[in-house]
Amino acid sequence: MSTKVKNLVTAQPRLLSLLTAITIGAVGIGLYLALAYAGTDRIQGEVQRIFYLHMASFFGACVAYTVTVVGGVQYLRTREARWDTLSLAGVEVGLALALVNIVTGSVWARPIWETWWNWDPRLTAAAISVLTYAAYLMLRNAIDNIDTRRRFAAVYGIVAIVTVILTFIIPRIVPETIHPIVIGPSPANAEGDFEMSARSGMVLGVNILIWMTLVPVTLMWYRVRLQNFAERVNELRLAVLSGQSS
Amino acid sequence: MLQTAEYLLLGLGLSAVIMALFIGSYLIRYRNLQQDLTMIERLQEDEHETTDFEKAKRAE
Repeated sequence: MSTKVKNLVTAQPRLLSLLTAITIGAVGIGLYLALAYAGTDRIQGEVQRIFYLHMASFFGACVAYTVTVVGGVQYLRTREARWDTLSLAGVEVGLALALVNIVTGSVWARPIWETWWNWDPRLTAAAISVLTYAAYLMLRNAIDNIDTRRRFAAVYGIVAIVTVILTFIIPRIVPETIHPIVIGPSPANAEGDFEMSARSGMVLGVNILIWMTLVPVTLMWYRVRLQNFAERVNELRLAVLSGQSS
Repeated sequence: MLQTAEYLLLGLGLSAVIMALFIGSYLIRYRNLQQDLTMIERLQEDEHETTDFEKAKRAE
């Protein structure tokens, strides 16, 4: 039985190995394009290059959180544990990518807005979103009953997407924001706007594509495998404790 | 043009740290699970040995 469990994680599918190699290579190419191929901003200087990672990681987080919604809906429909596992993977990966988004934004803001952080509507919405998903992990782990935990996590994961949608729409409905909008016209108060050259647009597009597809999918795949391994080990542990191991 | 290269490096460095911590947490959890599995295997072996010993004792 234990060989089977070990194979669950150690015998890595060739597709996952291939995907991992492609993802690492693609992230490297994306960084190269951002750091060496894209032109330097005439006003902001080198720090503007962080934009390619800042925005791409945000879209990656959105994809991961969307997977959480899909997993949650499917779990509520079917009550199959694999959908709950997928939801959990989406939250963890989304949270990591959202943190990259917030940290890069903060570092970028320091020389340009002359502050690490302000309670601008968009920044506040992004912070609320991160805290909401961090709370998902904490609350989930606080529930002992496995069915209740999965049901709660599914509903929470679905509802929490509202905070991500809010991050998208808030600079469009609250005119006091200083955060510029990349897609569509920026608010009047925005500190900076986006007039991207074709080259910058291409670099942004490539990075968004990499961080929206390869990065979250690879990370979530590993997380799902880890969770399956954990659940299998837990089953074995319970079997041994109840003296039913055979 | 503003001289902001150090902020770019800081942003990239912090992003790398976040991703490294995240992937590192996977590795730590994986290692812990492997340790748990080894312990469970040992418990199972002990249990089998005890059962065999009891059978042998009864046969005597």
